[in-house]
Amino acid sequence: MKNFKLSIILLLLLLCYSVSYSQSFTTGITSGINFSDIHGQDVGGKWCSKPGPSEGLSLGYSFNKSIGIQTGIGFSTVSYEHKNQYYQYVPINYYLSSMYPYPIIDPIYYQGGSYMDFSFVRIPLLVAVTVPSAVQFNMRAGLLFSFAKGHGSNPNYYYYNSYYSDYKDFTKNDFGFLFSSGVSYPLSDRIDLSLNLNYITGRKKFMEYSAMRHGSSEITIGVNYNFIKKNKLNSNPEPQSDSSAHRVTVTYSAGLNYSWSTFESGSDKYSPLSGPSLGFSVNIPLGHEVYFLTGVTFERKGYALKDSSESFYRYQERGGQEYLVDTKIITDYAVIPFLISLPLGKSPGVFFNTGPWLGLKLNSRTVGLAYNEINSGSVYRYTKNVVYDDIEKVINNYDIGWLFSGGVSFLVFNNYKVDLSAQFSAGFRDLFEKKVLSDIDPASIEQKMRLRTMSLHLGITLPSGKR
Amino acid sequence: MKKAFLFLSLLCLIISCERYPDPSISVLKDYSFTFQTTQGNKYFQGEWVGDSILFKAYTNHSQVADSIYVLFDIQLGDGTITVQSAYMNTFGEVSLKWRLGTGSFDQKLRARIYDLSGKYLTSATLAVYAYRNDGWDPSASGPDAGMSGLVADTVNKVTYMVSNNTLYRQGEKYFIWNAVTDANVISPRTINIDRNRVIYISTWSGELIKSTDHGLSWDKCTKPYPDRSEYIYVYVSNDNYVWVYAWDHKTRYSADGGSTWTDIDPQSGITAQGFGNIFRLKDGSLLYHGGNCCNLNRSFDNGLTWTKLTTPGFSNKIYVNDKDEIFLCSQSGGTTIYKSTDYGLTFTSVYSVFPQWNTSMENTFNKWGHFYYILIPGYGILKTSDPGNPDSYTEFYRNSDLFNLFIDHNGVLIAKTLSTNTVFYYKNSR
Repeated sequence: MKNFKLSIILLLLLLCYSVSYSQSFTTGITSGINFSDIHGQDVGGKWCSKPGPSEGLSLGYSFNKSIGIQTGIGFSTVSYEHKNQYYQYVPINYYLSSMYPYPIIDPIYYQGGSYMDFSFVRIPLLVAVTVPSAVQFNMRAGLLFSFAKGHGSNPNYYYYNSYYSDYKDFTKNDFGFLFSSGVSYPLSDRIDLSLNLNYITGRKKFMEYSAMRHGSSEITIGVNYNFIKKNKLNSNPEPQSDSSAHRVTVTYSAGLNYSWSTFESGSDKYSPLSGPSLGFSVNIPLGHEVYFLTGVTFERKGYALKDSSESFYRYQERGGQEYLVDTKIITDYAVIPFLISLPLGKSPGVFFNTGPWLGLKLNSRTVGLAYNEINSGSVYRYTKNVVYDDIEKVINNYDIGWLFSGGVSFLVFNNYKVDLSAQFSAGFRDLFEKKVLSDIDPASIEQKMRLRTMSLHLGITLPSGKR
Repeated sequence: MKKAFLFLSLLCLIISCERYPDPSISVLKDYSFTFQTTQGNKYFQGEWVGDSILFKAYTNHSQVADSIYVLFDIQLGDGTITVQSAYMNTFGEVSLKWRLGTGSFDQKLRARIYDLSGKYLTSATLAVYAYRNDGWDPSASGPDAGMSGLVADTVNKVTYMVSNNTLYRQGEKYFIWNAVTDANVISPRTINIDRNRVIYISTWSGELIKSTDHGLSWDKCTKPYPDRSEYIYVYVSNDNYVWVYAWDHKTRYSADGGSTWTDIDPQSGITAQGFGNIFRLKDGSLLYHGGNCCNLNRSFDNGLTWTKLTTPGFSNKIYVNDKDEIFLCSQSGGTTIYKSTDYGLTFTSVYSVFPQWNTSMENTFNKWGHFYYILIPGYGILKTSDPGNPDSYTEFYRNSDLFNLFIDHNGVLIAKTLSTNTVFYYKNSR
């Protein structure tokens, strides 16, 4: 409660400050919905992405047209739900000696489920980057301080979740990062309408006996009020070349990934996986039609496993109970490229991009089916397992790699530049977290897996400098 | 182009929002199969296993049980079956008959189970035991495995044993034992029989119970040591005297079937020599060998005074036959059987074996028909028609685990191991 009051006072002071010195200030109100995305969970079961409300008041200060800072106060409720299933790892004894000629009882598979929800007051401290175009593009990144004002939980009877039972163990304060990107559209000289996508990841464990951390994704709609008219802001514009080659632009792209694994052995058991790719890149001109490209692309990568295996996410045979596995191992990344774009001839036209990239893991899971056949003694049982296991813990937090892409760009409707490109991307790091994996299966760390991805992208670059 | 971009973006969004179902497990097929005949039942070789055998499938699911195809075969033993293969009926059952073979003691009937497509599912086995003639067959389950004492009444054709604090009477088959319940028979510990076929049972509480009607009824005797509530040792000598012993009491005997008791040994301290065997010789004297080493004694005054005799080696067991020939077992040079025809004054070595271990000796000399079966613990069983003649000895059953030997009223030899709860049966066909 003390922190909450402090937050309110701080916000009011900031608002007063913005009114007094309104020339460079923007304030806004946002409302939206968050989808929980817990981090640090153990391997197994499904953490459902539950919706919750997110509201906020923001206060921004712009140093110039492109760079600024932003703070504010936010209110959100994040709900987590975990669904699990008891897997029967050992053959089942039915006590079917003729000494006990009774009808057998079905094995019971418990559907585990537990719930947690947290209400937060959040204060962000962000750096904001704005790229003017027909629809203004905004990026923000920075720190987020969260104060849990309430929580509830419903631990189930499953031992796996037993550590949820002691509510007082929940950590009340959190510290994390917030990444945001979005667009804003001017409704008038002072008022903008904005649409933002936020990704929030907590850095503190919120339970003593678990590595779990808070996390969520948000989509918000906001209305921003500029304390100074746009035309005033543009009253002394900096000299600019008319050539688009000298302007920073933003390209929004969407595409399809086709990724596969490179296990050093047993690769015949794996097959490629297709997934979406959606993101943007900021194109910074370096001169002579050469650009430096960076941004964020949300990419789904992974592979498929189809064989008999003891593990659902990688081939494993150690003499234990085996399943006929038909699963997809899916990892979502936020990929930040650092590319050089070279024109091959006149621009727009054929181009070639290359450079390193950094992929930050957002989440990872195994989904699919696994069939199991038990014939132990005089018992025969055939079971179907619907697999949904979060495996974030065994997947490395990030990947780095290099990509090559080539394509063609052309103008449509005079002002819109469209890129059509093919891309090959190679990850350098082992997909799996070696230390965690060795605890689960010491023999498996000998096998290293790296991801390769082929992508087809369609990008569109909006005309710049229209605002 | 705008539409194409929007379409592609929408497609990506749809793919990225792909929903996967919650984890779950569902049992698609679930069968358990069993023979409705008790596993480990005991039969004679060549015997039918019951009137018929029912093989049954259990399932809690909706599969039709008659889609199950079963192949039967003899996995062990060379018996015969009446049905080699069959589909289960709508109750999930198949019936067949099994006649045991003579190939082995362990006999197994196997059912291999397939579904309609011919896919092998699993198998089930029915294992039984088939006892044979002229061979040693074990029993490690059932009450006989804990056998600690046995008496046989060849006139009334009954055999009783004590096992695990319970009295059992032998059934129609020699390996079948039925518990005897009687209000006076509580926690039996030992069992003995005299030459008049009176059976005596001592209990863990020091009571002595007897039956004079071959086990139809049981009556309490006068308690040998009224002040003692713990177990006692009991021995019935060849003159039908009942001898009792307890380490903290003097040895006593009863000449009237347990009604009255007489203390012996006021001077010679024979009690200190431990519980042993006593024989009445034809001259009226008593011959006693204590449980401790080398304590052979003779009494001419019905046990009041005893004269110690010298024994060869480290003697621990005596036996006196109907001709008053004394046979003595001594642990010298392995285990050596000595013979004396002069009431123990001199002994002649007859036969020696080398057991793997030595311990006290229980029922050592057992006679059936014209033969003696002599059990040497740690070695096995010797067979001889004349224990005094070394040339008549043969090695009958070499088994170093054996500790005790009994013979039932039909002449079936029953040997008990020391360290494992197992008895071995031998039925002589001749």
